[in-house]
Amino acid sequence: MGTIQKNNIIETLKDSQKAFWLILFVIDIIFIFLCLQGILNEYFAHVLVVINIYLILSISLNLVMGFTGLLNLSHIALFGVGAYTSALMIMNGYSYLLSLLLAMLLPGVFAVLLMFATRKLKSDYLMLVTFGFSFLLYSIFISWTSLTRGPLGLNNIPKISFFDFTIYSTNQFLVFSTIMAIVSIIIIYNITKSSFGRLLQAVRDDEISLKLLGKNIELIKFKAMFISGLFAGLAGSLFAHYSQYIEPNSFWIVDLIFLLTVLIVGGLASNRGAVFGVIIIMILNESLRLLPIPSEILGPTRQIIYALILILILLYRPKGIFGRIDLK
Amino acid sequence: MTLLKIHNLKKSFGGVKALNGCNFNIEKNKITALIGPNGCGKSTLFNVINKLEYQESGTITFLNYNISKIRPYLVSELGISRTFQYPTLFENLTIRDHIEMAMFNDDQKFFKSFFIKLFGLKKNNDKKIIEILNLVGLEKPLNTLGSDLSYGQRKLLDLAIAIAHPHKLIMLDEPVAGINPKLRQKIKEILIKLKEMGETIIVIEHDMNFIMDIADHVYVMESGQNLVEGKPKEIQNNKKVLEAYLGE
Amino acid sequence: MQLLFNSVVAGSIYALVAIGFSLIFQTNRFMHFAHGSAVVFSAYIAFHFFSLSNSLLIAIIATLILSSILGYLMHLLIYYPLQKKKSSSVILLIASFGILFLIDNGLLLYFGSGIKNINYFGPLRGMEFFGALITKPQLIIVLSSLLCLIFIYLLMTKTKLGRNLRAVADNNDLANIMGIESKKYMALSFIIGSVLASVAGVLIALEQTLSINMGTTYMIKGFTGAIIGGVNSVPASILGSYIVGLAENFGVWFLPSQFKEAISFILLFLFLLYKPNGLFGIDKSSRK
Repeated sequence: MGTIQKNNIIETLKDSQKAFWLILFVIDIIFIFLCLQGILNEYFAHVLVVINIYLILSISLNLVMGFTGLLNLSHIALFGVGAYTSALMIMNGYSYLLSLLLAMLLPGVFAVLLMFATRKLKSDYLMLVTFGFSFLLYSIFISWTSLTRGPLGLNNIPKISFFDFTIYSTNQFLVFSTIMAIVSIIIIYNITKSSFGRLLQAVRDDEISLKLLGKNIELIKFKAMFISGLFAGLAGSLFAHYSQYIEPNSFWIVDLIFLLTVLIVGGLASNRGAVFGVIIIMILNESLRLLPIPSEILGPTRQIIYALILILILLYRPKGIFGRIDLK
Repeated sequence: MTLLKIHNLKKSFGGVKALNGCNFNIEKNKITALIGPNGCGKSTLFNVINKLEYQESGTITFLNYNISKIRPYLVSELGISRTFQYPTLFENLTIRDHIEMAMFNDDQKFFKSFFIKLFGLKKNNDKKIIEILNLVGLEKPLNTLGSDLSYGQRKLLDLAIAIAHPHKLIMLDEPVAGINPKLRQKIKEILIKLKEMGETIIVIEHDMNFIMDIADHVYVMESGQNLVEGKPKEIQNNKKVLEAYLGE
Repeated sequence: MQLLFNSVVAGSIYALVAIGFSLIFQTNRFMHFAHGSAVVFSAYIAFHFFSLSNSLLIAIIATLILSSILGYLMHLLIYYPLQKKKSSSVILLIASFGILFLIDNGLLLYFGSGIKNINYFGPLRGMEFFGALITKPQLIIVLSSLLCLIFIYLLMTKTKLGRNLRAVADNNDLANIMGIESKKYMALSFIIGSVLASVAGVLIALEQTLSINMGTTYMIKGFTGAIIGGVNSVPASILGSYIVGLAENFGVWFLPSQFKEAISFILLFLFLLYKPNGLFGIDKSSRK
């Protein structure tokens, strides 16, 4: 929307867009400051770290799902590939930076391969097949016990350390993950506003006309999927080293529906929506903890609430809060 | 000089033979018109040239390249622009976006476009864009979204896109179908102006008067085959053509 | 031989899931992914009523009734309002993911995550049958799904109801003009589909221990079967489902058995790449 200057309503919207990012940034800094000063306890820092990881996930998924219009449900599996790659490499003695690099590249490559296999599909078909791909990877995480230790999961994953510097505390991780999240948001924001980003939107709106303008649609889709996969891998790596324990269930339907809900609530094809969606759902998520619910039914209750939100928003406001496009 | 040569093209959908061995030679710097009753295969021919469909047999040669089997975007890169009878625009993009995408092809380069955005190096192309919009007479702010345009404006923008895209040949699919007489006159003037500028144009059209005024050469198609060809005047009085049209 | 038989058992259940899915897809033009949770729902309900009453008959009847009510409610409360707003098939699909999640977690809340087993037949002894070991519930699975498939076939081809359903599937608008009330038939397809799902659910409950996740698993298998066969045709999806069953069980010749899940996927991707409309599919789908 950056290029639009003409009428006043849009002008205000554009301003509010700047204001949105600014307010968000300031609030973020205040929270981090409070955490670092020990005024807010470690639990807050933990929630903020989780928000940061989901921000990277949701904004990168929005790049393919919202902007390019590829209804891709494989993102959570790519997140898992990143997490496992990074964890296994570090546990086998490779350096963090190398692990991170591979943990980003591998999901990127997977994403491109998936796109290659599904390049003839659209809308709901694509959605179900990519969902199937998530299921495939999930079952590989579970079945390939010699590598992933199956349902037991990997534990004692080392903390992040590079250049003689190790991230020990949650607060340190908070700063690190915030930097990563902000960098990711800046990169993806600029992609979506670049001429390449415009091309992505054109792919979503009408492929045939775009082919006739001499654009190689498949290559564009591959690039978008690759970039999105890179960030999914980054988020996965952060997640693995932060929680120090990963298991297949972290990369399956619960988080998938969470991501989907986040994007639909926030609104597709809007970076603000992708960010706002994460924040609002996470606040809801954590405030449920305050209710007097026994912890063993907290999970299902939470998930029922996601599902209800998802269904209600589809019924009453399918474009979400900031969304501009209709789902086709 | 022949720009586009089509030889013995065949294409069928199920049992229907949409193209059944048709041959065309499109001359440079001329307006060639393609007429024929509904369902005679004109639009299929366009789609096959653009590679939205692939032919079963026959060859298409453009600028001495054989474009029979290549992918659609390459056809476009070689320099064939086209418009649609019912243009589909990118609903969420502005007029400026449309024309810029048509003009430049380096937006596909990810890093280049990313760094241009990041460092704010984007050039202002508005002057060129307005030039093209003036040529087709679309007077709308550059920020108007595709979804906010009327049918007539969409057709004009579609034409502007075809002109903006680097091309050697423009293919127009029913440029004046469903358009009011005033705009029709305007489009006629635009096409004549384009021809004077040295463009090569193929046009599908039903409106015989329109064709008579602009075309240098006319091909008449029926059932996926050539029926007759010639100068507009010769076609107008040809018995076969009258039969094909009146017999329908 | 054993492998062949196992394939047939697995394929029978997939086929039951797949035809319900494909029936609903044809009349409603969207992918009802929550169909998988209708299967788990039925399995749990069957388990529940069986442990309450200790009578298989009561359990089956209760399951059939409750499951068709569930199917109808999904249509009435969620899908129909969305369809009335002319929502795209993608929105309906996402909604169905929501429903799947809702039902699965509802079940989890109510039943807990413990292991559930009907154990109706006691300790199982296999019977020798052309050199393959077959247990009684497996035999029941094959026979009853065969019966269901024949029943559906007759229903679709020989009755007025089936003809109207097919008319709605072929051309909704035209069917409306001809006085067939398509809304009614859309709801009906949900009920029939859910009944089929409930048969699958009961059969699964008879043979296996239950877990919440299996709905998604069966749905993916059923979906794969439907796609491989061609989602626009009921017989094709049945055949596709048996192919999935076969591929899974014979795939162990090529891949270690823990990668059983992967096999049907490799098949799915191959089909999507080279024959996206399925073996017998006609291209009138939403791929456009």
